[in-house]
Amino acid sequence: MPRIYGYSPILLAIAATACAGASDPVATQTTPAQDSAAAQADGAGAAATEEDTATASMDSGATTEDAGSAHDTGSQDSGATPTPDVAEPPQITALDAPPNKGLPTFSAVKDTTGTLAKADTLKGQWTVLWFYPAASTFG
Amino acid sequence: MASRITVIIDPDGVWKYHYPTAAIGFDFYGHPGTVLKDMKALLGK
Repeated sequence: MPRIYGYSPILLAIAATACAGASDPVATQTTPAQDSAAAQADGAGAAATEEDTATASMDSGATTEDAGSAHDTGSQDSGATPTPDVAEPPQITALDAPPNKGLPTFSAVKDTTGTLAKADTLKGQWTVLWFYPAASTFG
Repeated sequence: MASRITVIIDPDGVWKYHYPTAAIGFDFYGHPGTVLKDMKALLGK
């Protein structure tokens, strides 16, 4: 726990929460997709590292085929059992939504351009919505 | 209790995933950077 000067109870509570943030069960909670992906990664061995390598290669401008071919060659040389050609679920940190959670109908929301947004206009494309109590607040 | 909730909605209007963020303290969970990274994984890009 960091040293807090002033010993304000509010500051102590904030510091305690910030320190506990690393072990926040919400932040570290895994989704079923992540659990199955982790199980597959354990069985495949270097599957997770391959994805990280591919991502890093994409960032550096290199192609992912090079990383994939290198991984395949390595597995064949070692004589390991080839993994079945099954598409791995996407590695995401989000939580699965509650079941039967459709988009509620709304029509009184304006976007940044001032245009009135409706629930119908969001269909047909992936949408990211975030809502919070008020601007310039924690979170 | 979460003070900010970020929701990913699929093209059918179904709530797919969400990020409830803690009320106190800055948390990278649900940060736009992490959300975009997850969207990249979802869209296979």
